[in-house]
Amino acid sequence: MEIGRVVGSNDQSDYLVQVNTHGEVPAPPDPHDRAFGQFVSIPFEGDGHLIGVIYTTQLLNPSFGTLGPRLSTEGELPVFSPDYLAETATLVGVFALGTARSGSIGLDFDQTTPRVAATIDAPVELLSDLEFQRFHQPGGRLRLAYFPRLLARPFPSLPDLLCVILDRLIARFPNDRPRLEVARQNILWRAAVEAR
Amino acid sequence: MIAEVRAPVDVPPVGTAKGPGELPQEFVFITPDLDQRLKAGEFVYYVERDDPNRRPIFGRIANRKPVRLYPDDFLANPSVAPQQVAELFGYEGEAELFEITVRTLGYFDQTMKAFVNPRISPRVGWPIYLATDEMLAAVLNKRAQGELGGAHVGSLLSRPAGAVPIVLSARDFTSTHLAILASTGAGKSYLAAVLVEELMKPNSRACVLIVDPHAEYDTLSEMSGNPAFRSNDGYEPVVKVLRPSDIHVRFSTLRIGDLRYLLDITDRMEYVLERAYRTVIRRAKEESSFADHWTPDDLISEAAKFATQRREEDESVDLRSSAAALEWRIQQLMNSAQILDPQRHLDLRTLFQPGQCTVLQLDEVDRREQQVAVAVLLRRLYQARQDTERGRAQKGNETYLPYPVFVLIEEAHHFAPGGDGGGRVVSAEILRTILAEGRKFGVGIGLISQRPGKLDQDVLSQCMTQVMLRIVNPIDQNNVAAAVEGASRDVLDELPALSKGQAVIVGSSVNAPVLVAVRERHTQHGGQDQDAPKIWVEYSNPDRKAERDRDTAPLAGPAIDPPIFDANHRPPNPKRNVSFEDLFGPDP
Repeated sequence: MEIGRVVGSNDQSDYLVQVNTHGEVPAPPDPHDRAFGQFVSIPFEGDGHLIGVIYTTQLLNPSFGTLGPRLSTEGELPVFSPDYLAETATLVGVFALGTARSGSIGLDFDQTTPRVAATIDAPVELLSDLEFQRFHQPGGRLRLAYFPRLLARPFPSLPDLLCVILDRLIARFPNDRPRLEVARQNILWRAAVEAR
Repeated sequence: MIAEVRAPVDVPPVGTAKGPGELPQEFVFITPDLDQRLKAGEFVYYVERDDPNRRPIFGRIANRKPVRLYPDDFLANPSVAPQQVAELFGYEGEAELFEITVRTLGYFDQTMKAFVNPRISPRVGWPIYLATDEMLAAVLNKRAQGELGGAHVGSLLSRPAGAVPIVLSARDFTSTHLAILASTGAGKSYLAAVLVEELMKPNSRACVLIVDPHAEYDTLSEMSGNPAFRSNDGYEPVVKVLRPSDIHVRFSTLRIGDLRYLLDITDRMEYVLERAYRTVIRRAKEESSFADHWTPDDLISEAAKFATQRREEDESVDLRSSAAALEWRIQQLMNSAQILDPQRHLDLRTLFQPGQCTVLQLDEVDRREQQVAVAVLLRRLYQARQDTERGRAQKGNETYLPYPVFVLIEEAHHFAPGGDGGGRVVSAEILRTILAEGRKFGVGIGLISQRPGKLDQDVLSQCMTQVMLRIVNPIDQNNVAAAVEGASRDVLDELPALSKGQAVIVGSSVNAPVLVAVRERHTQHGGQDQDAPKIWVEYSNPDRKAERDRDTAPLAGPAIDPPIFDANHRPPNPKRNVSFEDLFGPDP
């Protein structure tokens, strides 16, 4: 399911995605589909996809702060100022965690920094549960090799993002629960105690 | 002859040199130490890049410090290994890295038979290797196992048992003296017995005397008849165990200081004793040319004679009561003494023979008498060795001892105590003399003590080979550190951590300080603790109880000794049925 299009990036891993709205696609995504912590895939040229996670949401409203009176009423706006409506947008930040490429037996997942970048206007699709699971098992074993890269980009909601990911992993990988819990507890401890 | 030691080629290194350490003789290297082999006390080496002879430059690991470890967070759940958490985050390599501090010993110089420190640390990046067993056996020992004068005491602690035998040079420790120091129960008498066993083997055939105040060395007599001690030329060690009843110290061999020490007398008595003693000695020399041919009675009568004479010379001086008191004390001493004898004494030639180990058991003997006995014996021995070496002793004479002697003294702190009271003990002076000068005359001393803190520091510092087992008491540790020249701090730090049967050996008998696992004895150990709970439980065993009841049961028949009346003036055991007539005869 497509949730939006790439509209820009801050660096090799950090992308801005404009969420599809009414008028652009027949079925725009549900707010839960573009929620904090959702995993997405973005195709890049060739046969691969970037795998990323939504780590932030921005609401874009250019008229915010324009305090002067508007000549058109609310009902007349689509007729007289269609550009005004188009200027408001919902953006989500996607952090690219790795890649998926076609291999001899399906997709090969990798958790290192993607070497190939996505292009502007590339579609951003929600990652299915199965793909989420397989992305975290490169080589058959549970891996979170992208965690150190996320930790190196501190932002206030990072602990929550990591916990969202870990909660989802704990649900998918019950056998790995003890070590995932160690990681989760450490993140909570640092956020709750050491950050004070 | 020890072959030239060269570093082997194609051996994988264990670490990489980082640079010099804090001290001039130290360097540090970094290692993952995957096999966990680089422990404190282990030996490593490096080779200078441009050395064509590939001479290994050895060092001893003094400290091991982690420089990279898993974060504490990874250790939060005991059932989840930190490696598993690290793997989760994509790290699958080895986590730990260690910085190892090495104290450089140097390369082994075959000419000097010693380590020579190059005084420069390895360059950064030079590989560091673990020394092989063969290299260590060649450079740590002064003697090879089985070689003349080699005393195999055990093997290097950091290697598998027996991999690197540690062989002391008996020539060194029997001439420049030995100290065995340890807390009680750490195995010092066991180790001493191992050394004696080695000395009595065919490759040493030593002349050994053991001063044994606790009677724990008699099991050494098992050496006689044991094939381990026999040689093809018919040699077999002789072990003589002398019980206190076999030991005699002739009264006349006591010096005035010994008498003063034993008699505990007043100043006036001392004055009388001194004058009488001098006269007795002079007369003995005049009459027999031997200063020790006199008896206690001679001394007593001479004291009385002197007191009377002084009274005649000056009426104001009356020493007769002092002479009488002195007489009483000498008689008391002779009555109570266990080993002092008016006539008999031990012949040095029966005590000291090459290939003979004499055990002088002094248990049940009063402490002061023990000290005097040791003092007298050591004085006679030292005099005999001096006379022999200087050509003053005649062959066949008792004082002719044409071979070196090694004397091992248990509980040495009783015979040479330190502190304020130490100077009073009569055996301390001769021990100090022998330890300072004995090597010239072939008299070696081995001191064994569980309280090195109470041992005279001058005496201890003269022992050039020190064997230390576990020492926990900090005062004792400090005394050892002060007295032991060859031991660096890192070696002494090992002392509290040693287990039973593990020892640190430093000094002249080894080329470098070593940690040793002491070998098993060929003979049984005689100094074991009693298993008190076992004895107590056995005591209430029904068989033992019945045996005791049998032993303590009153005899049948008329010989009834137990008390007839109890506290109430009644026969204590009604079953005995003792009648009035039995006790008092027929009723009148």
